[in-house]
Parts: sequence; structure tokens; C-alpha cells
Amino acid sequence: MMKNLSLLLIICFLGVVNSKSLAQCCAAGNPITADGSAGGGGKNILEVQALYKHSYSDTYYEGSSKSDYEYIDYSFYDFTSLYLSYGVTKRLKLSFEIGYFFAKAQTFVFGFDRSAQGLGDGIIGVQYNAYKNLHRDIDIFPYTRITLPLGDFDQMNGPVILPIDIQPSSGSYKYALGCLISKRYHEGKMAFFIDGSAEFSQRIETDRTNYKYGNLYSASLYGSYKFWEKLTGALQLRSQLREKASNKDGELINATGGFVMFIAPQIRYNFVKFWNASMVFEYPFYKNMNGTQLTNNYALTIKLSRTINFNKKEKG
Amino acid sequence: MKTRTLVLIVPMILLLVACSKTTDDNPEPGITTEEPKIVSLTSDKSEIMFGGEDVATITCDATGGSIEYTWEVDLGDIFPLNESGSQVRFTGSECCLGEKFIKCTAQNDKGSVTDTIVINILLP
Repeated sequence: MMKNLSLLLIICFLGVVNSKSLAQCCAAGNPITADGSAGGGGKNILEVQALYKHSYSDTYYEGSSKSDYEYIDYSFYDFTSLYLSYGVTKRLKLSFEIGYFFAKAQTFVFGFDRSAQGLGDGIIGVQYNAYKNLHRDIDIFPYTRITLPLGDFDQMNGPVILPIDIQPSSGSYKYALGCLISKRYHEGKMAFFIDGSAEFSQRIETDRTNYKYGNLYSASLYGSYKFWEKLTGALQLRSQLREKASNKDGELINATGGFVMFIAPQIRYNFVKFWNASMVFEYPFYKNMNGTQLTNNYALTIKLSRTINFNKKEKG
Repeated sequence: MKTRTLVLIVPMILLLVACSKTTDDNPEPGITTEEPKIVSLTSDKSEIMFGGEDVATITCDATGGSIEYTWEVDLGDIFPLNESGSQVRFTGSECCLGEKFIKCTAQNDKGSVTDTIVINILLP
């Protein structure tokens, strides 16, 4: 039974990785902040998490090779978000995340630059613990997320309305479905997670913009090991495939979409009983882009989280 | 108590940071304005190659007094070239190939008017 389950999981994971889809040239809306593990959970337990993420891009790729094309010299963003999750029942967890860009900037090789800042997207999530095997320490959590374009989508650079890829909000509703499977060993000293999700973007249809982001398919493997009582190390391998975007005539835009694989080492420290601090370094080690596109070099995330248990009065 | 304070303070800080400035729509004092009119919207090129080297310079000339210009395009990169914002440069990367409709809006306290020019971005 266990072997069959493992085989099924690996097939599902590889299936997603090998799908024929392509990724977007430019970031829009909130970046991915989930690290591929399941945190919090449990009835009446609130998790509050604040994060800061810095991302930097300066390398063009054509297919899977570096390109000498020069257009945007470099691009970066500084992003922060607040995430709240609450266990409504023992199995059902609701979450809400809202993001804010301190800066989202591009500098061009021909001497011009532009930047935006402001409120990003809001994300509502529902996660359900559909399967729980206490004996084997396996949990399965199907989840869904809805992205709400709450933030700024009409920011300007002097007299020019900025293009959508640099606006803080994605301007589009997005609907994601996913499933996260966890397996713990030695009472949680070691844990593995498999996460697969698909995100579907709704077409933006405003007076100014008619555009559809490519759908995003993502799969990740995550392993963690508790080195000491308070210190945990983790490693995530993530693949992301984004389909081509389409323009106002519904035509696919050639230089959008692609496939990227990331490796993301993480270190987490637990302090003062209910607090966690963590740092994640995200490095895209394989890229296969459609056309010539600016790609991400790295991202660094710092998180601070606090768990609050409303079931009993906290001590300490 | 500390916990509740934390839960309240963090979202409040985020909301405060998110507040944006409002703009003043009043015209310059002492200047008489009339309904804006775009006299011409021209470009030195109707076709450019993708990339940063081939540039189209677009000029929007409007009358009416105290004109504020706004430019937009669905895909492509526009940068202002003068202080009034009446002249811009336009280029596009590979993601922006094809006909691009660049919109210039001229507005003042009497109203606004919009005109569009088409630039074709081509593969070299």
C-alpha cells in the first residue's frame, strides 16, 4: 500500500514537471510566498506571518541558454506580506494573505528607469486535512486559493501609465487548486512534503487592458530535518511551468511562458516558545524560456511567524 | 493582551503604508483654459525593430491650456522625453511584437481628449 502510494506520488510529480507549458516573461502581482510545507493547523490555532522578499533579475535567456540580448539592464522588487491562517475545525484551515511592494523597479540599458510601489494582491485560501494516518504520520491536504486584485493597477511613471508587469497588483482574479502531502519521521524530526498546484488566471478586461496571464503549474518536493531542538534546515526543489500569455485578440504572445526549476535551501529557528524566524534563498538552476526573456537570478526571503493557540491560555 | 496588540498593529501598519497621496486637479492660477483638443499625434517611424536600439519618437500636440498628457500602451515601453510629457520614446521587447496602439490623452479642468497612433514592432 505504502509503496503504491509513493509510486503514485512520484508519477504525479513528474507528470506535472514534464507538462508542455511555458512561463511568463515578467512578474505580475504577488510572488509565490508558500515554501511547500504545511504549517499551523489545528482547531482555534492562529498563525500570523510577516515576510520580506527581495528578488533580483538581470539575465536574459533564450530557450535554455543565456542570451546576449540587452534591453532591461536589471530588475528587482522588495516585497512584504502579511499572512494569517486560522484552524476553523481540526481539519479545516482558512487563510488570508495581503502583499505590499516597497519597490518594483526596472533599469534599462538605454539609460531610463521606472518603478512602482503599493498594495499587491490579496489571497484567500482554504485547506482541508482530507486524510490523516496517525500510525504512519501521513497527511493529505487538498487546498484552493483565490487571488483578489486588491492593489494598485494604474500607477504611472510621470505621464506614462506603467505596463502591467510592473504594476503592484496583477489586476486579475486567479484560481488555484492544489494538494499537499506530508510524511513525518521520528516524531517530526524529519519531514517530507510534496506539493502540486495549478493556477488559472482570469482574463483582464478593462478599458485599458485586455490580457490573460498564462496558467501556472507548480510542483515541489520539500524535506526538512531538525538539527537541534530549535533549529531546522530544509531544502525545497520546485518546478514551475507557465503557459503563454494571450493578447487582446486572444493570440498567444510568443516571448512569454517557460519552465523554471528552483532550489531553495531554508533555515528556521524557533524562539520564545511560539515564534519562528526563517530565511529562504531561492535559486533558479534550470530555465527554459520561450523566446528571449529576462529571468530571475535569485530571491531572498525572511519570515517571522507566531502561532497563537486560542484553545488554552498561553504560558511563557 | 500582547498577542491581541500584535494582531491589531501589524495590519494597521500595512494599511498606513498602503495609503497613497491624492493629486490636485486645479489648473494653474491665472491661466484661462478651454476644452482640450489634440492638434496632432505623430511619430518619426511607423515601424521599429524589437529591442532598445530602434526607437520611435512620438509627439502629441494639444491646445486648451494647462494640458496634462497621459500615455499608455498594452505592450511596449514608453518613456517621457520632455517635462510637459508631450513627447515620448517608444520601444518594445520580443514579447511586444506586432501592431501596438499608443494612446495619448490630453486633459485639463475642462475635459479630456484621446487620440491613438499605431507603431508596428517587427523582428529584425
